[in-house]
Amino acid sequence: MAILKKTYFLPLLMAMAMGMTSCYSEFDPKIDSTPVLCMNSTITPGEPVTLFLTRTWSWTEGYEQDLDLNVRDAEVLLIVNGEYKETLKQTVIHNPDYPYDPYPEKRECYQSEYHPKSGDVIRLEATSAQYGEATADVEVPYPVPIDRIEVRDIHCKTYGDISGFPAVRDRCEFALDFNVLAYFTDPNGPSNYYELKSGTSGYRNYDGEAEAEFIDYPWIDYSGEPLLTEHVSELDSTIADTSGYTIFSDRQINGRTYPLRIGFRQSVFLYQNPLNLPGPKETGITVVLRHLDSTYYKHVMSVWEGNDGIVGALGGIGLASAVYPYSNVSTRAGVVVAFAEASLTIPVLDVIALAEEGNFK
Amino acid sequence: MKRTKIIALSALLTASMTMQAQKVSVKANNMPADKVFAELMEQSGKNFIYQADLLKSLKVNVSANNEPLERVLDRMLAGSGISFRIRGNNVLLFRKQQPKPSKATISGFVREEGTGEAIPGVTVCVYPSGIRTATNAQGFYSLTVPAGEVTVSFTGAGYDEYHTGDIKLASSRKLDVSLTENATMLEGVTVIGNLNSDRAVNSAEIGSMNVSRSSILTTPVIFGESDLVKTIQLEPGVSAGVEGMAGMYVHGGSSDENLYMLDNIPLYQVNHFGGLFSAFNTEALRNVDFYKSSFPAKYDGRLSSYIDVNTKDGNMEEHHGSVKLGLTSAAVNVDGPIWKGRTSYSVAARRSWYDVLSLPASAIISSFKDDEKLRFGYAFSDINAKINHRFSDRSRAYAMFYYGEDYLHLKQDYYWEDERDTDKSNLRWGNIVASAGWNYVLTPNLFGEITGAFTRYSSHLSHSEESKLIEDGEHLPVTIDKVSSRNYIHDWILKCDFDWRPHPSHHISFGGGYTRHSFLPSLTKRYLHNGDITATGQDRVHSYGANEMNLYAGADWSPFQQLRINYGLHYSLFNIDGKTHDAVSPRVSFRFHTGGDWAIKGGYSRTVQYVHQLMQSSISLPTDQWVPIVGEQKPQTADKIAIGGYYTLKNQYTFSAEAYYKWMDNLLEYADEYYLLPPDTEWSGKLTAGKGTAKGIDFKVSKDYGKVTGHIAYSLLWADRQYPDKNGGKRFPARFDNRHKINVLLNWKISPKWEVSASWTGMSGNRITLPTQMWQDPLIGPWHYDMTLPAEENNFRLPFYHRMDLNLRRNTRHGYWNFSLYNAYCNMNTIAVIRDINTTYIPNGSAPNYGPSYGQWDSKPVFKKLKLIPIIPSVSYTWLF
Repeated sequence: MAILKKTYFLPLLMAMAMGMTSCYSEFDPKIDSTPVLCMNSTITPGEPVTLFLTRTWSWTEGYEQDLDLNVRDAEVLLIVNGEYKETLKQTVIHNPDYPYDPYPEKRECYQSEYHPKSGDVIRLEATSAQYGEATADVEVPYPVPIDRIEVRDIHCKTYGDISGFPAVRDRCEFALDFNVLAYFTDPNGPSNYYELKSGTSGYRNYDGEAEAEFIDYPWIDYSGEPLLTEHVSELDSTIADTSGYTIFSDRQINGRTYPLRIGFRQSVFLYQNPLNLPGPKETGITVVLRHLDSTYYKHVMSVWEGNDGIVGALGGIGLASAVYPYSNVSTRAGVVVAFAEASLTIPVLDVIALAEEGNFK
Repeated sequence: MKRTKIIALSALLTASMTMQAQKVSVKANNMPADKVFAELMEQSGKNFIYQADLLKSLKVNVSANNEPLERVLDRMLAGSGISFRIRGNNVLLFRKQQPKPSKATISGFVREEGTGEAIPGVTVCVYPSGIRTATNAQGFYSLTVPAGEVTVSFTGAGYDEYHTGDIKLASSRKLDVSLTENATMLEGVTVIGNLNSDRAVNSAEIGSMNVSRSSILTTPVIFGESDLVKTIQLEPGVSAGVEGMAGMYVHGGSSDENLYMLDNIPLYQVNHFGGLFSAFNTEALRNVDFYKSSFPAKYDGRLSSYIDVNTKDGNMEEHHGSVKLGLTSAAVNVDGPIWKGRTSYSVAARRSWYDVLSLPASAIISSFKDDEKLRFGYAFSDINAKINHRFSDRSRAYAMFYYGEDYLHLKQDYYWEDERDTDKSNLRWGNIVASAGWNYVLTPNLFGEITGAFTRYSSHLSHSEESKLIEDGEHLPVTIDKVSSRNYIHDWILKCDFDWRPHPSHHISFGGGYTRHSFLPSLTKRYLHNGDITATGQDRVHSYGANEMNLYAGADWSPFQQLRINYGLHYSLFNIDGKTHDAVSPRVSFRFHTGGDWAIKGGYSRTVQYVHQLMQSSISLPTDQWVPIVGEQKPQTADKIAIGGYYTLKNQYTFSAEAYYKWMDNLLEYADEYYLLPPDTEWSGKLTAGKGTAKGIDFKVSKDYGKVTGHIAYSLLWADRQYPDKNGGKRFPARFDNRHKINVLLNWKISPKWEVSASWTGMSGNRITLPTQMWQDPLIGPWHYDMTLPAEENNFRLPFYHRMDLNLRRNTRHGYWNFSLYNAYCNMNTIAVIRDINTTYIPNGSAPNYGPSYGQWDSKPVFKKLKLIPIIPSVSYTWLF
């Protein structure tokens, strides 16, 4: 919890000091630079390879969203385990995160028909008449399952009459606060990298005519999990921002079974069943464990170091060498990464049931 | 060549006459000698052979009546300095060989009147021979000169010149002298560097200078904190690095290539507060020597420069002290006799104020929140202590101690329901130096010192995050994550140094030393507790022991008046992990007087470095660590050639121009993307070894005497680096490749009460790496970021930097006030370039040119110069007692 709640007193002081004394003036550094190919692709088993092939642009050229960065004249080859598989086709896909990410609803890309499997070594080769060539290699990892989930430290408050819930009451509201421990077993062998994610799933129906249940405003707190800050040095802990990153390695837990700790704070669970219908209670909390290839891990680490680590912070104001986002593309623009994920969901009703066994009535 | 004229007075006289039979009669009273010899020639029939000018103006008195020629000549030439020899029919007249005048050695110590402090660098000159030397760090001098009547003069920077009366020097003698602090200073005249002007023209060293305490005190600096390193930063060829910091990059070198010697012992960490202040408390300093181009044989172990810092011995006669109160720190200094005339002590302590401000500030912040408590403090402190004992005029011992530390502490408590989380960080880093030495005048010509010392730099950083559940008042640990790292270098040192002055024209220094190093490169330990799981981990780092041995011999030799040569060899041996590296570092430099007050110098030196500092940034961080060369790494080396021309005008102005070329090998640097290597990667695996060059020329004009003193300096520099695993293996300019640098320093002693100093610095900006190309974010991080395409290393030079600092000193009856203005005309210099979004207001309508417009606001991506440090006034008061 601590990490998310930190106020970062020192950075605040530094920012205040700089804010009080510093000033800025716009200028053109007049440095010539040439655009190159950028390859971005996130590969998962069972899904086609989708490559976003763009060009780099100069910072002062304009906003990324306003520029046409797509490279359409390229030939992109897919090579799997050393053998040519196919030439990727240009297509347009729906952006599932629109409008929450900066990219448009429809995105141009190059896509394969082949669906990679765990263990595949993928190579992408792109050639553009205008921007040259780019290549990248990645190995698709195997998923690492979550063995089980334990729910602990439940705090539950209710609003309204909950007697007979869920069988006879048509509307109940719960404020929940609890921790979960998601156990997984790290495979023996070479270094493994992971990303921990979690979320809620549920059925929502706002018209009030049918069964509706949802969980709202969950604040998912990763700060109780020490593995997620293993990349943070003592100096970073003191001076820099350490929050928001949920990747880790098996450096400390190699080959062991380990409980990942996640807090669900200030969750509101609303159960509404005016017709008192029997039906599935789908709302749950899901823990996702992504098994990452090393490029994925390095890229996110470099992003952390460059934006939030002490070296990156100093580099940003000219006091240290620049920290660049890691790239496995030959042009040093873009990343081709892969992961395989496993997840486990527990229904919120189970959490409430556990709470009932404890101090909750 | 002198013309010789052989005069044969007669060849006609008979040759059969024997000497014994030859009798002559002559009578002369103050007659010209040549006339008398003509008479004798006639009587004796001998040929008289002599140089034409031998008898010139010689008048003789003789009276002989039929006496042997030999006896008559004896009498006649007695006391004339002329002798004769009879060979057959020839009488040879010649000047008597003057007996070689006997020589005597005059030696002793030069100390300060009233305090008994040794004064190094005092020029000692014996007249009429004009033979001169300078006192060493212990104030010792020795000169062997012709015996006879002599006078000796002693000239030291900031002291009244002292002349002995006529001294009859028949045999070797001891002469201890006390110099009085410059009385003329009280009359409004300042002497800051006569030693340096003398050095510039007379010594064979290139690029060396003396930095006196008074010059440090009068140099204006940020926050009014007088600082040795910031004084040296004003010298040509020295780049200051980041604005406001006590960085030092000499002739294109790196900051770890400067060897700081505190009373002859290396000091590793020379910064406080990230480098804003150096570790040297000015109150504790006595004298500093700085070498940047040619190095005496004694020094090795760093590539770029040597800073030999001597601390005060303490007043032998009475107790004195000072208390200084400034805006950022306070300092106390006391010294005096323990046993009058025999034993003295000196203690100086300094501590910063920051935690005095930050602790209440954090308490106030905490008071606004019930669920969060914060406690934050930073402080630095240092202590210099020294005891000095004089056993006799020939024997002295001392013990010195230095302790300097930075401390950063942060504690945050959070309360949430029945959980309590605590984050704690403790960071401590600093130096300890303890040494003891004994010096002895073995013979009037030979001075020796033996020193034993321990020096240590260490940093200990720890951070913990604990989450606890509060049940029935009990705090049950839920998760604990502790990480700590240590890094240290410990040195045990034993060394002997000797000064031998066998001849006035030959000054020899020799010695040797042994150092036992212990290194612990950053060792990180982790402790993880989560429910039933407990894990501990430790990096694959181990400590190293290393043995270093040094032998050196160097001489300063003046074969004739115009030429002076300084030459020597330094041999070093470094043994680590079963591997032994050794190196011979030759040094040679010369000074040639071309006549008048001109001198030309040239030199070559090779330096070797076995221990280096890994730095992640341009400021000093506690994560910086001193490490040795290990594995396949080779010792870092630098070869440097330098030439220079020097001129003094009326003993007031010194002009110098020094050019150099330096090439460096096996330089170690973090490789590109080192931070992506697994945390347990051996530290040495994150480095890349490369090479670099630096070339340039330094010009300086200084005025050392008068009410107004100071200097104007200009330096021109090119410096670059090349590493196989950095910048794609391509050569790139060094970070502090400040092409042009101008420094003006003026000090005006208006009256005994008022003194004004001003310094102006202008230089080509530092270099930074400025990536301009962006690439699309793959969105696999937690948030959306700008992705930058790597650019050529140090591809952009920041704009020209300039700044003026002013200092006003007001002497009072019990001390003095210092008022200073840093960046007096508030030219906020660019320290970095950032990417930013410029938003402008368009009164009526949209802004179609750049980016999305929201109503009447338009925004576009731009580069901006970040300018940080404005005018900073400060004041301090020093109370003297």
